[in-house]
Amino acid sequence: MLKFRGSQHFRQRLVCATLSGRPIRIDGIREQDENPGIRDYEACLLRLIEKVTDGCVVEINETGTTLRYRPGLITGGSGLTHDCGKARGMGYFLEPLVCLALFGKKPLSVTLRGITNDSNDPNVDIWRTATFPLIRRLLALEDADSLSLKVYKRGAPPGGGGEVHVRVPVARSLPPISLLEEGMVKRVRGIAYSMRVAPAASNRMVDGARGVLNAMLADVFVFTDHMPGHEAGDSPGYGLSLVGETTTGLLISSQASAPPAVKGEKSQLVPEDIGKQAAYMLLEEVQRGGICDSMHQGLVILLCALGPEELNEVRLGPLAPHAVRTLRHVKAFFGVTFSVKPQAASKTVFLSCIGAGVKNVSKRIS
Amino acid sequence: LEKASALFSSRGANLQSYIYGTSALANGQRTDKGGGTRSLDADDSDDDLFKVRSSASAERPAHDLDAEDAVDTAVISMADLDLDRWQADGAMEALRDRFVTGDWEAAERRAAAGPDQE
Repeated sequence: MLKFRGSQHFRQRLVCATLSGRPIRIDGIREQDENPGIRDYEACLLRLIEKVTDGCVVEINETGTTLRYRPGLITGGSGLTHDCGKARGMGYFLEPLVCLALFGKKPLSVTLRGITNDSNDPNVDIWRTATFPLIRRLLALEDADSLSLKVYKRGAPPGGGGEVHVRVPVARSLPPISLLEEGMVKRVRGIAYSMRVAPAASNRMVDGARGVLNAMLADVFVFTDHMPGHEAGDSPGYGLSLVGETTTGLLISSQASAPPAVKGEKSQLVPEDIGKQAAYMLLEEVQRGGICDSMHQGLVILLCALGPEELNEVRLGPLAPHAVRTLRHVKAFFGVTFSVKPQAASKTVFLSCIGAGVKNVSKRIS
Repeated sequence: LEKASALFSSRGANLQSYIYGTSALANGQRTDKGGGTRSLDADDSDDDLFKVRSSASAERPAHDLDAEDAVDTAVISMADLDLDRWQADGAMEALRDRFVTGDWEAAERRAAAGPDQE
């Protein structure tokens, strides 16, 4: 039994525990907090994990500050639905869900309801246009359809009301990963979405983003996606995501969204500002370098650590806090220690490891 | 810029020991710095027991690597970054070589450069 403290890195602890088959115990979850114990969205995630696994045991003490988790077998399956609640965006749930589903017995097909676009988690457009292509590349998936996300309704905080459908295939084991060439950014694509606000907001955000990025690149195209009536969820909101594609086919993404409206208070930000923010964020990510942006570092590190017992190597930008925690956790669960070699001139980091060789237990080759 | 460098772990050659110097696993000693009145000692006074963090500081930001209760997110908050610096003259121009409109040879040199030797 592995023991942890606190609520940090909650999702990856559950993912690593399930993939390694090791039970865990987390003590002291927000014990000094005014409102101690696990949050609703964390309980919601545990329910989602119960849906896609078989035989897992979750024990939570009375105050919710201690969690014991004994993982079961990942089953996957189709026709599932899950309500993600209104506290966190779907990106929060997708990160652990996709990692688990890859090692499931059957391909996963699930409908998620809740907040599709917010600023605390990667939004569904990032998932569709950056994260899934990245996973396809890392896993050398050829069938693009098997790993897909469709947005039927959008939902902004605080009301939510969005609906997406996600399909994840199963993998037998992961191929070795070697991604060291960053390339140069050759084009930028994006999606500006708006719901329950004037459709012009989308176009104004596009203007803001293009105003910044066109100085660097002519090939900038941002799609507008205005959700009408019943597809627009329960709260007004708008924002955009940008994805820069490099000459080596890698993707660097950024997102920005308008903060939820407060009643009686006029927002200081106009749509053009949101567009500019996303564009500056993209520049920031490009400047840091590496084969992916900061929000995907943790995922790349995890997939390297789960990879075959061969050399897996990647080049990343300066490590984000989430990535550092991931490195520490894969060491605790799988005993995988990365060799971390910085390069001062470009401020990038070369990471390499011998993977743990995690195999899909329900896909044994006879 | 100072803010951003505090966010990202790029401590030169000792990066590896910085990362693996702290274990993810819970051990006897507490590492939650800045939590104020924390101690696991037997002499925990009653006052301590009833002290709660004010709700403002309760959710520790995700970038605080020492916080046990840091928010679990992969996204770096925009509020932690200094995005205004891109409006300065020449800030974007310095990034030119990372785009196809820049110097391809400089990009090739960057791509060819391996990790620093010790």
